Amino acid sequence: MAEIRLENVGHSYDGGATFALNPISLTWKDGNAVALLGPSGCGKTTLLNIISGLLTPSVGRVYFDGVDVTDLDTAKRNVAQVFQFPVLYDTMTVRQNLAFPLKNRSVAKDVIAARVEEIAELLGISKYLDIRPLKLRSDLQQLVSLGRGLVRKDVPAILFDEPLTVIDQNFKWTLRGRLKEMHNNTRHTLVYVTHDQTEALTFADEVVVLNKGDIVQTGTASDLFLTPQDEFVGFFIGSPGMNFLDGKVSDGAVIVGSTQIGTAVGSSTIANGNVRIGIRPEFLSMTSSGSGVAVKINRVEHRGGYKLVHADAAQGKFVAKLANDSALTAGQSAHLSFDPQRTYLFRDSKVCGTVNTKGAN
Amino acid sequence: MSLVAKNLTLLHNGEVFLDDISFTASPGITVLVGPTLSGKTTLMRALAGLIKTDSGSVTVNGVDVGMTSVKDRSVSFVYQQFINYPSLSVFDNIASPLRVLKPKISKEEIDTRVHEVAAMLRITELLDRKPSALSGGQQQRVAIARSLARKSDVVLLDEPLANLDFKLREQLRDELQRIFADADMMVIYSTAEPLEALDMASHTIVMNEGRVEQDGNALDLYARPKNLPVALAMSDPPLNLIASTLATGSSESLGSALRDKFGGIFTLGIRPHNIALQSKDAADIGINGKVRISEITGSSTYLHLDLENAQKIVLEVDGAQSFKVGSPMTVFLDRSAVYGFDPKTGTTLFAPAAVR
Repeated sequence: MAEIRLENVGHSYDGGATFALNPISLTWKDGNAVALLGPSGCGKTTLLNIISGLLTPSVGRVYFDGVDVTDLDTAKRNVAQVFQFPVLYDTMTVRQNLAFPLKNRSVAKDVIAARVEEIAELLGISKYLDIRPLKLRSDLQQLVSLGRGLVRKDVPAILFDEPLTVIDQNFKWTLRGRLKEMHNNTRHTLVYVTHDQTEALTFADEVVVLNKGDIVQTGTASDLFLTPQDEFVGFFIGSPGMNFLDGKVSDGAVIVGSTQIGTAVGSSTIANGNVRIGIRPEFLSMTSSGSGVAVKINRVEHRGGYKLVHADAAQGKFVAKLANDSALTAGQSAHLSFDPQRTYLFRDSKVCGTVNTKGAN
Repeated sequence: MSLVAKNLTLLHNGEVFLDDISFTASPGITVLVGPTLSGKTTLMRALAGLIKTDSGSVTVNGVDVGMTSVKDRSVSFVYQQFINYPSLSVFDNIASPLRVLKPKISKEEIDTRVHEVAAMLRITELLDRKPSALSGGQQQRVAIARSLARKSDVVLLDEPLANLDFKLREQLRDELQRIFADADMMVIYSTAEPLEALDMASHTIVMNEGRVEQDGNALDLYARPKNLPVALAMSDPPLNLIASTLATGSSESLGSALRDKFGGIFTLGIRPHNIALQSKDAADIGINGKVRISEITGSSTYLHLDLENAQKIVLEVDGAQSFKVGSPMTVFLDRSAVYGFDPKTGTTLFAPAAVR
């Protein structure tokens, strides 16, 4: 397993006119599970392909454990890969498919046999070992593909490109858990590309959020959820994402419309001017009585374990995540209150402070 | 206006694809929910008259779909993998089914309709582009717009959001709900995701192994599933299942404790958010386990525990909380949120009184 370091790595598919991935530098610790998360076109797959060697970056250098591998092809980099759809040999049985990466490296027969059994057990495919993959359902085929990616212990890193796409919803939960358990035991360096925040957040030690070719924030699941550094992270992480409304800062007061909702708190004084105020649905309370921003409820979605209450205020639209015992119904008037620890100010899409709502409104 | 499916059965090579399916859809959204291979796509193809069933009938407004020629059927189909004509502009893609309508409609009417549905799906500014210049989400919007422009009586959407990014799905789902809420057409929408069915909050049909397991309002199916397959199809994260009786194994204290509490043999079902780290009520059921893994999403933490006799449960707790792998702990099941299923037939024996 290896530490992966990128030095000023960027890529352009059109000879430098535009960059799909803007030049970045980063280091991923040996043994970490890293997720690359973002919408389609954000550059996450480009970044993965640069690490695997499928793509030579237009600029910058790639190092595995300090060794420059930028000019080495995929085979020489020795990484294991799992793709979105199953890639298997149908002339071989599942067992032979799983053994193939080991056999190729002349691993002893009994070692191969034991390792194949171990991986099959982990993925729950032991009973399919002696049949050919094409006879299996597509999600089971993908498990075999995953197995092939995981079977070797001597790789610097295992790279996953949206590996759970074809896996059924219920089984995704089980499988994600098993992968995490495996990582806890083996501490392989894993790089995992996905657009699914639950997958990224639950699986990775470190989540890299990309948007339009830039890394907008890197952190743990809690960092990204609790302290988003960028409006995009506020929106993209969380389901639903952050509520935003336009306001301004005037001599320390945070004003929305003509109402002061609190005071601006920053590491330094926040200059007067326009801001965006962001608050997650989890940190917004909505009650039928009391003070606070007045809203009218337009829709209550019951999602089983909780409710999403959509409301309109003069200042904008809000959605709050409330417990099942909330009695609010559509058409009703209500009041909002903001968690003072978790209400953020953004300027030029970057966080610049929080709002202390105590005593205001 | 209605769509009626009556006793649809389809066998192929001795395998049952559709098993005596009957239901009625009224104007608005009908959601088909169920796991992969539960028969959703096959059923939709049968509803469109694209495949012939061995028995049964589909009627739209009293007319048998099988007796109508394909081009005269008032049915549109949107597939999971969006299909657009690559050489035509977005405008022409949407207009294409309108140009072959009989009786013919005027050029002006076509223009009006295309702009109307484009506005609904927020793709007006893309009308002059070719599909290749669009993102996946935009392409699927075009495919949906085309299906709406025809103003068919029936619109079939087969997992239309499955190939899109998570965030895009969230957004488009909201919009589709708004668009179809007042539409005077019968929209059949299939999904494998329980939350999507709950979000649509409308008439929902749970499918499993080619059968209709239960038919009703989404929240009712979530709260009062008729059987285990329905409970599973309506739960995400998955429902925890704990056997109150174990076929093998020496230690059976958990099973016997549950049998004592509920009187009888059953499979206990409980959703992850109904299990807590602290007891909140004297009736809560304490269960001992060992931490296998914990998964933090930021808003909550999924804690996976190993119970005795190789049984496993997952609980969802608020916020980001860390737990040491292997450490023993006791967690508490909210008794008022417990389901009981017959271990042999899967029939629901008891269910919570309220939505939990």
